[in-house]
Amino acid sequence: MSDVELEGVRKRFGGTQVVDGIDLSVAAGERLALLGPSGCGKTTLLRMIAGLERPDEGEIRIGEEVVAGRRWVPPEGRRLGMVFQSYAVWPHRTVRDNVAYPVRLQRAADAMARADAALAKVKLAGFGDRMPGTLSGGQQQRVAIARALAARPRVLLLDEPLSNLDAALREELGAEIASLAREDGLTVVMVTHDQAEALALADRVAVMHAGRIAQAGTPAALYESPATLQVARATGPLNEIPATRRAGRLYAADVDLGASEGPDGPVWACFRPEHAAPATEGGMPVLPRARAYRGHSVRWRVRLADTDVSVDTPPGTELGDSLALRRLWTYPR
Amino acid sequence: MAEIPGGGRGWRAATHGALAAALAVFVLLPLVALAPYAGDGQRALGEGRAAVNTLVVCGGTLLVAAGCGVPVGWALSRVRLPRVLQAACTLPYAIPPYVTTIAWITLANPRNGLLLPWLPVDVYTRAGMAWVLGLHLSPFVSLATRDALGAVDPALEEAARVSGAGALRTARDVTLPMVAPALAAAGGFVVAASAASFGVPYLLGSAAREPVPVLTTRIAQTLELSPVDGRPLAVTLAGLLLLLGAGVPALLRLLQRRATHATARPARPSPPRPMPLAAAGVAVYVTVAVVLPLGTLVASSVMDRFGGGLAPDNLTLRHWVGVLGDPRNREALGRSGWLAAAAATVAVGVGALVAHGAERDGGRAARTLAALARVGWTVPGTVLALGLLLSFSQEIRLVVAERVTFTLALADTVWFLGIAYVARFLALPVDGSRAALRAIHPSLEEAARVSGAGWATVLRDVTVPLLAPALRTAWFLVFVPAFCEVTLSVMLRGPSTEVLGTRLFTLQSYADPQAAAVLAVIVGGLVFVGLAVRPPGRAVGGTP
Repeated sequence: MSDVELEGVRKRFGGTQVVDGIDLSVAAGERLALLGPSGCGKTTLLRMIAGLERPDEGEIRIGEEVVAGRRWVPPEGRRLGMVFQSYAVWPHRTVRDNVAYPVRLQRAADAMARADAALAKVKLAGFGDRMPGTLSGGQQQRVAIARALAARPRVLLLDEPLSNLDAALREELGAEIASLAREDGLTVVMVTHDQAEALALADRVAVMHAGRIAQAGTPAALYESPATLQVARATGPLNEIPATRRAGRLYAADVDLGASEGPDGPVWACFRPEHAAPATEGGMPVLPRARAYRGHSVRWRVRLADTDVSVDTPPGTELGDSLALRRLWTYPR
Repeated sequence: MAEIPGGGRGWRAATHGALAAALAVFVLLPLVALAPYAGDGQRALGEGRAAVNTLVVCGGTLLVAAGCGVPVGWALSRVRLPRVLQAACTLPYAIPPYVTTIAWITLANPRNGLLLPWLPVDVYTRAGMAWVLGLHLSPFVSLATRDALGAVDPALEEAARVSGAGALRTARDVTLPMVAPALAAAGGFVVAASAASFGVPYLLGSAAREPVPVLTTRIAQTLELSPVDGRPLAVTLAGLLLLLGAGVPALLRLLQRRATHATARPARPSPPRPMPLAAAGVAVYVTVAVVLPLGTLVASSVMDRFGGGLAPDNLTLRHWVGVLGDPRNREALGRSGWLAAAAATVAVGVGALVAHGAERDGGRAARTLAALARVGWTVPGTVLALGLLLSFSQEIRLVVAERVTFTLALADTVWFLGIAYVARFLALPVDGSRAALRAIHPSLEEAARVSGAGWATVLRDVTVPLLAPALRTAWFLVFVPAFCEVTLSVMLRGPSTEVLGTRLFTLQSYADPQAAAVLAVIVGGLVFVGLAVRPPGRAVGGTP
């Protein structure tokens, strides 16, 4: 395992600056998630770490070795493991041959044994002689994970590893990847657009927007105090109300949203659904329009200041015509 | 996806460099070599007859191909047909046209044609050429019609019927405009292919009492009569041919672009209905275009005396014994066989590498290389042959250092034919591999790179195994036409390098039509074997 260091990394495709100056360091043994909407540059960044794309500028180091920048190391020289969104399990090789392939390229004598051990780790012992076409999507992704682990990579790269799987499998396999990585003390860099996936798998999350890192930190820090509107959007469900700040108070469609520090002008007033609750007195007027029971909570759709917003309450709580906000963030509009 | 940068320790760069050099020498150079001879307008005017003949034959071919192809295509899309009949509708294109030509000469020559008692027709005419070529190219029109009709939403026609239009009126006002762009494209291809065709006008035009020269046969004839002095005229004729072969389809494409019809929703093709009369019509088409000519060839190859009919006492295998016993025929067969196999192998290897570069690298250089690889297939074969002849008829000496000299003496060798076949058919594996590569997700190769495999190792361990089915198909797609090749072979063969196609021409023209029938049956049989091994591919845009 090794640390990964990126310095001033940039990449252009045609006329688009896809990655626009990224400085990032991933400590050895750390699990980092790159989170963001599609097109934010996160996959390109991962592919540059893998050596599948070459940065236009900047330097990438893996361990002590410069792999892009002053010198160039092609992907086959970087000793990494990578799991692709599309599985990328070779359909013309058996499961065992798939997993053993990177080990064999390292000229290790015990490739087959190591392949079988890796398969056992992902609970596919006994599947070695099967062809990948006979496996389900979830099993194929396990093969891909075993293949990435078998070579004892310096860094494990995951490109949306769970997005092609159904919800139940996603949770199960996500937990397994996390525990496998922890067992081996692996350095992991993963890319995802799914906040739950990122928050569950990673020690640290970096939210990307327009080719830059908008904010990096622990999952809790990002969720609880997002620095920008994009980070707030990327890390969880968010209500956004167009508002105006005047003399230290926020107004939206004649509704007083409360005190707010900062210069006067138009802003987005944002809060998460669980940051609102029925008000006992002095709340903001709301009009409940729909409710959906979700087991652990009830999700309400309510009208607040001419905007439809979501509010979560514990089951059994009735939402009246008045709402109080426990937390409110503002971002420039 | 962009090709993974670097890596492979320069194997990729070296391979692509070598490919680029080979294509430049054997495809680009021959066409550039034509230029210095061009510009003899005076003499081109004197060749008006060949140009007019070509135009007339093209027009007639288009009439025959559309006349057969449009109704057959409609039937393929809308009428319930037996599977055998459906499959047989593509056969006219699969059989080399000179094979059917030999059959039609047997059937409709003015001296002792088998049809003469019933139908006083003469195949040694422009109409005869158009007939044979039109039948040969009709599958292009019928398949284009079928596919276009399949893409038309039946609701559009139903709406017209509900609005009060009769069946014919609906066909005219709704269906035809919808399929017109596809028909125009197919028509353009038919015109280009018939203008470039060599074998049919050669067999039918030169044996006529009054010879009917067309552009392709005039080029070959000119060079045959005066290999050096004839060059300017040959090149001028080639220019006219290129103009026709490229100009007409380009014009039709332009018209087509102006009239594209997007259907609102994906078509749910209307199920074919049983229509016995229409099915019978298709059966007649298959009989005339496939069964009759092939049957005639088989029959005439086993008839003792040509006029004696198929009476039991008139059956003999002496033509077969004679043909197979003649060492010249055996030699030509063997030479064609291994030349075609070698050309197919080289073309598939080169084509796959070029396609891989274009699909995975995606850079301008790689795409240019792929475009260059298609050129030999797009230009008429006669023009390619002419260019190769002008470029390599003399020895080429490359003096690298005082004592290191490479001499390239290709003329009259089998290598010349082999190189010509590769240049000619390279487009087929390039197209096939590109289509197949688009269906293989790049992450399969990327996963191997991250696993530690270099460029060449990825090709060997991942790309080639996954491409294998497509490469096998491509190999047969090159092997079969190369085995039967005649357009290039006629112009490029030397005195000691006769191949199957040229041998067949010699037999047909001078010696023994029934022996030619034997060889034609062998060629036809081989095509059927090839079809059985691989279904016909869909490489479009080439010329015979």
